[in-house]
Amino acid sequence: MLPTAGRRLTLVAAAAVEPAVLAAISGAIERTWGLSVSTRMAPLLLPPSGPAWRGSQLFAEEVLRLLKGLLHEERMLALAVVRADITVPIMQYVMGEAEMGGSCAVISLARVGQDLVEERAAKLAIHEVGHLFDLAHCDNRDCTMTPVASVDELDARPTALCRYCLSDLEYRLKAP
Amino acid sequence: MRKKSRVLVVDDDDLLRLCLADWLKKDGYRTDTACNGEEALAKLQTSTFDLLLVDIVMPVMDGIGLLENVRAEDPDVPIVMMTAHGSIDSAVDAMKKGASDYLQKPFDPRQLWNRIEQAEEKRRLVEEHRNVKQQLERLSLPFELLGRSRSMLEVFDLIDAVAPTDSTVLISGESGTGKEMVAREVHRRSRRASGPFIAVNFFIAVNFGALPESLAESELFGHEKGAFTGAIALKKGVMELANGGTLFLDEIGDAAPKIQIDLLRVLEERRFFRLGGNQPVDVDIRIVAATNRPLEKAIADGNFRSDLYYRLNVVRINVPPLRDRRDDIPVLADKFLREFSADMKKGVAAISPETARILATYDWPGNVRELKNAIERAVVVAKGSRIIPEDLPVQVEKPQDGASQGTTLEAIEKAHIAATLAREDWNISRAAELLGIDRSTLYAKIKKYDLAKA
Repeated sequence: MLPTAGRRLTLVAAAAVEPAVLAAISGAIERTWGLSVSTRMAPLLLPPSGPAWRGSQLFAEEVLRLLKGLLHEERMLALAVVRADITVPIMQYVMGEAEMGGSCAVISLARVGQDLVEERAAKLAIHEVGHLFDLAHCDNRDCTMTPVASVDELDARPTALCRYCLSDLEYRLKAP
Repeated sequence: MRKKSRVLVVDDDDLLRLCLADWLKKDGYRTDTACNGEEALAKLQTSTFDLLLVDIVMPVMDGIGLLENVRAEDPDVPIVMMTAHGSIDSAVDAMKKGASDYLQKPFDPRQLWNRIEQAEEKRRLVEEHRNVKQQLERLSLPFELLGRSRSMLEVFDLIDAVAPTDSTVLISGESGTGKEMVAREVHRRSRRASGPFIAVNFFIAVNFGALPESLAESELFGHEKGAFTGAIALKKGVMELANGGTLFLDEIGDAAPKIQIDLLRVLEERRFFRLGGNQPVDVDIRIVAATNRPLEKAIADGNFRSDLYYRLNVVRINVPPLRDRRDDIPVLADKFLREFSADMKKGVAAISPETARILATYDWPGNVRELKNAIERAVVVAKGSRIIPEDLPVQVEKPQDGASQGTTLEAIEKAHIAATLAREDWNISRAAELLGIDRSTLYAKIKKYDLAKA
């Protein structure tokens, strides 16, 4: 059992996300990380325009900021699922974003295509949750912490940690 | 996750600079930031970076000015320039002045990863080339770590377990057992394998007067320009050269007291000061140390710091002497025979049964290194296609018999029982059978002579 087991995560979904996709994400997080997941629908009040947006792209930081407001327990984690294309200031786009070793993460379904949406969303979610446990990107293509920038790369990404990241995770969670 | 390079992000836009630094941290890079060329140059004086990401348009000193300054000191460090949309001309200018590459903001994530990987790869190749050259100059032909004895398999298991971690390793074992090869194996199987492996031998440094203490310090930690007479330029020490890789501290028990304190600080803080320097230098190194004598005794004698010992002794690998793993002798002998025979273009293809018996029963006080030298000598002098006993060095062919040196009968019995037990890897039944006594008698003798498995 992973040392992450037992923590609680709230899955926060934008209104347009299908229940089947949320169920796939929730199941994948529970299986991979051993977290206890509860789902909440559309409690994020995203501004329709303004500095939170760059054209049609939403700054991930804004979602993370709103997510933080929903957390009511110190050790609780939250993951938002949005349909909008998200980005950070220095990048053209990102598929997901998380606070390293923090509590909040977001994934976007804008670039996962029309097929295998549930599987792809689940993979994005597993990866971002890894960042919440302070895991950085991994060079090993057989690791779920390998970074991806396209749907093809996402399809090739596995859902499990490699042994290096596993040992890294155990070390980090043991450290005071 | 492999530990990655140290990156300096230079950009006057606070948001972009911090955003990029955060992004790189998520990629496993260790990052630092500067808001203009001058601040970047100041940071480069005190820290080593493997990659610079530099915005072109900045106040105080712009990216081109920084590029020119850095290139004057370091032709190898990769510098990737960052340009705003529509400023390709200045990027081209930067490439002509020695930039490794350029990226247009905002970045395509894949393009950023690829450019950084390419820059790192170039840097790695330059360093590997330098390391290989250095090692070829320094090293004689290393003997292989071979073995199928239980004790060596235990060593391999430990290497496997510890290699992927960053834990400090202390290797103990007699001279010639292959401690450096174990250290190299730990490095080779680690995530640092593409980084440098740098070895420092304190026994040579101290006992052959090759390095007086202050010079040894300079070799380890480097020095600033003007730190002492003759320090005409800034010099990086092995601590910095080993950045991103493994530093092997051989015969650590011989390290001078002052150096022991400095090493303790590096182990605790992963930073040190160059001689004459007042700014700490951060390093990402894995330390593997080795000793051929019990450090516990050196601590009791007041010659080795116990706090340093506990820092080093995180994972202990004990390399057994060859006499305790006699099963490995034929394998090693055969390997060395084939190597030397091929190198010397001699058709020596086999070891005679009588020679093999001698090799298997000799005690090999110089361990694998002595066996290797014995086989090399035998291949040199062999006249036929097989090594015969007369080809071996005289101390191996005709070892002095303990009986001829006036030792007591008891001493001979003790030595014989100890040798038989070691040869049989402490299999009591087999040893008793070979000694011609029953198991209970053998147990009584083990107790009487206070014998214990090494």
